[in-house]
Formats: sequence, structure tokens, C-alpha cells
Amino acid sequence: MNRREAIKKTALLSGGMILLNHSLFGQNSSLSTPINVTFGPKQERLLQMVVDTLIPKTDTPGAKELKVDHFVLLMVNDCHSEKDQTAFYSGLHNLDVFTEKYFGQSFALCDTDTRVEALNSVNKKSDANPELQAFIKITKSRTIQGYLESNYVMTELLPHKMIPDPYDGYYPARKLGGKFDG
Amino acid sequence: MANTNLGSVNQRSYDAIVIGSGISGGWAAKELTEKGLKTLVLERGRDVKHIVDYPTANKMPYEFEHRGDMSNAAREANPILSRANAWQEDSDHFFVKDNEHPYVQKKPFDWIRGYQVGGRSLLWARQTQRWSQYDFDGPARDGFAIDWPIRYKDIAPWYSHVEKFAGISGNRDGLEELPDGEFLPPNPLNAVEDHFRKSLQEKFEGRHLIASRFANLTKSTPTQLAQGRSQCLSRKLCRRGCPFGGYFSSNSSTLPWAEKTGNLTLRPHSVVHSVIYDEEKGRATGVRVIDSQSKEAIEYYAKIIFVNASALNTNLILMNSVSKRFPIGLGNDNGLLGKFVAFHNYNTTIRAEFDGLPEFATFGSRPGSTYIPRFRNMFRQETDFLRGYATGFSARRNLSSNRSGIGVDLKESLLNPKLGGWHVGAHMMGETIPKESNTVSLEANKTDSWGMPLLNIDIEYDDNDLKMEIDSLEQLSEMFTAAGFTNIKTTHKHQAPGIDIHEMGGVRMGKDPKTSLLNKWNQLHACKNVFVTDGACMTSTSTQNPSLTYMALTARAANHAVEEMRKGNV
Repeated sequence: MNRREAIKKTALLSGGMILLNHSLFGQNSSLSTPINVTFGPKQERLLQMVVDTLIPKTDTPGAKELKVDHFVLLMVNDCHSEKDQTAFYSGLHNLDVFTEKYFGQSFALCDTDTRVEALNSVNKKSDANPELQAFIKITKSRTIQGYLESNYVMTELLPHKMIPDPYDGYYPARKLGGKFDG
Repeated sequence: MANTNLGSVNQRSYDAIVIGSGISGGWAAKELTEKGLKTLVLERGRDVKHIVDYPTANKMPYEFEHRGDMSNAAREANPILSRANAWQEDSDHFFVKDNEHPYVQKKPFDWIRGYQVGGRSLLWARQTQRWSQYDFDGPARDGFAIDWPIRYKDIAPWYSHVEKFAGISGNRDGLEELPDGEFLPPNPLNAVEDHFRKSLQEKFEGRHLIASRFANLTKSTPTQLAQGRSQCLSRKLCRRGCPFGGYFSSNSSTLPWAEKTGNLTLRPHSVVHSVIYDEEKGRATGVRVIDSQSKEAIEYYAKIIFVNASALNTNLILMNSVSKRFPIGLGNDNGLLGKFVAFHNYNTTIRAEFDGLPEFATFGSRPGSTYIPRFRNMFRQETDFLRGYATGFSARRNLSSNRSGIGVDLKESLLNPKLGGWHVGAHMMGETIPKESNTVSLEANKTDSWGMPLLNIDIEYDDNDLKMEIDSLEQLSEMFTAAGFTNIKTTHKHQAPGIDIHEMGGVRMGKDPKTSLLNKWNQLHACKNVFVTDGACMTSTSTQNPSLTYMALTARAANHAVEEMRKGNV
């Protein structure tokens, strides 16, 4: 059994929520990734900062607090193509190169507003590394999914109804805030 | 065989054997046991008991590791299965994996299977439109395949019989081309579906949009309550198995009903090797089974045998049932067993937007959608291709979030979804023409883990299909445009046959033993105590989802079998 499987099993035993548990990683550990890349504590922290920037803590928890970074990694490792995986990991490595070039410092040293601006500008700079762009795209979409489909959001903020409301195909749009008021 | 002393033979003897527990096998079991026949149902897969064996039925989305997605490793290991939409993390346990049950693809064919008690009745799309007179008349009128030995009037009472028990929702639309049935209340149409319905009515002759008929209980009548089934709650999680019995499956309905008679014996883990033919008696006497776990061969005996193994496996079993009298497969005197296999064509989809009816939206959930019965070549030949296609259609206007921001803006937007515009979509369901060249055969030199020969599938689309696909995109684009839909986008797929999961034929019904395998009661012409009532019996395919027709044919044949047994004719 490799480390990943061991972690998954432990997660299963500890109640079904299958997110990689951060505390399981030692100081010098690296997640076993499906392709040959370096992914150690430094990269883990960087990814965590990115998801925290995408969906920050406000009066409710953000993506970091909900450990969405673990979900992103899980999905990239398990459900994305090798091409996506390669782009994701090397794109992550390129983030600091990008912020140093345009913002004069590593992503970690940027303040919150600069981090938002940096992530926003990745797609606008024509010379930005395509793998960095792919990294942002993948991370953003998986962060949104991991956040919206987290236990917390699905029970506390946007309660998921296992039994949906009865169907109404002529529901007044204004009741849903429709901008067209008929 | 293992044990042939008389006591043991008696223990392994029944009035009837049903091979397969899917949608048609379940019906055979119900009808035969209700008529007092001691019935053995053989299922090659494991048991799946209603409710208790639906492990994912009540799980929240976040309880699935990949939120429903299948992993790369699983997809790479299952290139065929990965093309089935319903294969997700919550339904994985109901699908056959590619490497478990290999087959030979002479040409690409995606054979999607569910080997367990209930079979694919756990996974089906639940659309249940009747065939009409025009469908049964089709081959004779248009000169393809062979004439059906039955007409609509022969099957109509049996449609009613199965509809009342299964619980079918629908509107009484009064259409000749899609006869009304015994309906529970219909699924409601929404504002744009109604708009499209009216637009078709005004601008296109003979094109009707209706609420599709569905095997979900929009209301539970005493008939379904007696089965322990209650109203559908529109969870749309049918593929997990429904703990409320909200949709019809063998597991929720026919099998427990059969069990209550005390006449049912269900034997899972039973791979049927062949039907045993007794040369002296001139009839089938039983079935040879390989226990899938012990790999032991066991024989079971019965007066009548229903083969409901699913279309292609029924072909396989009959081809593997060889004897001196039938050297190339049971009942196969004319050499047509395994030929004229056909399917349905789902190769085109179309979607668009609609700016009208801004005052309305859709809210909540329903199990059904809408349906446009075949309009091409319906009452006369009109195009340069044969037959036509039905169309599935739906419209929706939901809340959604703008995902363009980053940070607090993004979070705010995600937590406060806004109403978007109307989106509409449609797909074709085309009739394919059965051809002798579309065949399944046994791959004698390759066997599976149970020593069964592999099936060689040699099936492909033809020019008629392509013409129909092009026509469907043209016609639907025209119909969409006339309704005021905008930003129309068409998709012309070139998927392999099989992924429609409507494989049919190979043991077709017909009037003449020279050109067909089964008579009008689904009996093998040459071995009358063997009945085939699953998809294998289909002479042509029409456009309607086929399960309701299999159910009706099965109930009809089972009742005929019991009558014939009582008269001593089989």
C-alpha cells in the first residue's frame, strides 16, 4: 500500500469524508503524485494560498478553512489527464516566477489585493506561461466545485435538498430575482 | 453432470425457468408465478435486494470522494463503459466492467451491461411510449426486414396490463402515431416547452410535442402501494436504486411480487451455458448452468423456458445450445439466428437559447421531460431515407452563478446565484433498419472465465442512418428557429452503436419459419416450449424506447404459455 492509499484508507476509517488530512504529512513529506514532479510542503502552502485567494474567509469559512486545496489535489491526481497534471504542477511552480516578474515578489509575500490582481492578470498577460494559465483554470474550477460541494456549504450556506421542491414550470421569475419582470 | 439421481433431479425441476431477471425476465417471473407455476429465475450476477442493496441511495454529493466523477484509472480501465452517461461514482456498482466480461468487436460496439438481479432495469431511462399500428406495419409497408406477425391490436391490452402495474405517467394526447395508455398524471410541461408545443402545432403539420410517458410514479395508486412503492420524489437519483420504489424496476416491483406468491426461486450467480434439448422428446427440457462462484455445472429442468438474458446474451445462449437436431443453435433451422440485429440512433443533439417568456422560470424538479413522436415518413414515405426519428426535448431556466471573479467577489457570486436565461435542448432517437450483415456470432476459440464462448459483435450504421441524422439536424434547426430560439448549436456525433443501450433482434419474430425464429407468441418455431421475449425478439426497432414493449410482449407470451401448458400443447 503506498502513502496515498494509506491516507485514503485512514480518511475512510475516520468517517467517510475523504479529504487528504494535512496533519498526516511530515515536515519533509511530499504527496505521491501520479507524475514525476516535486510537490513538498512549500508547494502545498502555495496551493493553499491560491485557493485561499480564490475563495477567502469572510464571515464564513473560505476554501482554505474547508481544506479545498486537498480536494483540488485529489481531483487533479485522480480525475485529470496526464496533460492536465503536468500543466498543473509545472504551472504551480511558475506562479512565483510570474509574480516576481510583474509584482516584484513571490506570491507568498504579496498582500491579498495583489494576490487577487496576480491571479486575475495571469490570463491577460500574453507572455504568461501557458501551463500557469492551465494551473489557474484547473485550480479555480476545482476550488469552486470543492467549495460548493463541501459538507459545510451544502448544509450551512446553500442547503442541498435530497428531496427537491415540486416542479413548477411557470414559476414567476421575479421570485428568483429575475431581471425581466413580466 | 454433478448429480443425476432422481431425488436431486426432482429438487432441480420446476414448471418454468426464466433466464434473466431484468426488465423482461422480471415480468415473465411475475406472470408465471401468479398463474401458479413454480418458477426458477436464473441470474448470472449477484443478488440486489430492493432498498437494502442500494448502498448509495441516500448519500449527499459530498459523500462521494470525487463528487460523482469516475477516476482516470477507472476510465482508462473501462474505455467502453466510460462512454455510458449513467456510469458515475454513485452507480458504479451496477455496471459490468470491461475486463470482467470481454467480447470481440469486429466493428466498434459499446455493449453496456448490468449483471445483477434486476439487470439494467435499475439503470434504464424509464421512458415508456407505446408502439402504434404504424410501427408494426413499418417493415411490410416499407419493404425491409420482414412483416411483424402481430399488430397493435394484439399487444394493446398487454400494454394496458403492464402500464397499470408498473405505473406509467402520461397525458392522453390522442395521437394515432403514439397511442394513449393507462396513465398516472403527466409530468408538467414548463412555459417554454408549452411555447414550443404551440409553435409546432401552428407552423408544422403533424408534429406534436407531448409530456413523455415515464415509469416514475407521479402518484401512487393502490396497485403500486401494494407493491410497497410510493410516489416519485423527483430526486433524479434513479441510477442508485430508489428506496421509495418511485420508478419501476424488477427489484422494486415484479420480483418481490413474484416472491410473494411463494412460487419463485431466484438463483443468482447462475451463468446459463445452454438450453438442453431432448432429441427423443423433441422439446427443451431444461437449462445447463455454471455457478459463477464455484464454476460447477448444474442442470435445472422445466416444462417451459423463457429466455430473457438481454438481447445479445439471449442470442449467445441460443447459439451455444447445440444438439444433433440443432447443430448451429437452438431453433436455428434457417441460419438466421444472430442476424438482423439493430439498435437506436442517438447521433445528433441540438441546443439553443430563448429570450422570450422572461416572466417565467423553472423551479424544483420533475422526473420526466418532453417528447416529439416520429413525424418523418409517418403515414407515407416522404424522404429519401426509410423511417424516421423521435425527439426528446427539454427547456430550463435555473439559477446560476457568474464565476468570472476572484476572491470576495467570486465567493459572493457563488453564494448568491442569479436567474439566467432559458436554455433548450433536443436529441434524436432514430429507427435503424435491421440488416442481415449486422450480426452477432460465437467466437469459438475465445472463452470467458466460465468457459463460455465470447460474443463477436459485427454491427455498424449505414447510409440510411446518416441521411436521417442530417435530416434531424435540419428539421430541428428549422423547428427551433420557427419557435424563436436563438444561438442554435448542433452536434453531430459519430458514436459507435451500442451506447444507445437499445440493442435488439437476432431472434426475430415472424410469420414464416423460413425467415424468422419466433412465432407470434414469441415461441421458437422449431421448439415451442422455449420463449424469447427480450430485445432479441424484435423484428424492427421503431423509435420508441423499447422496454415497455418487451414488458407487454413478455406478459402476453407468458399468459399464452400458461394456457398452452394447461391444454397440453407445450
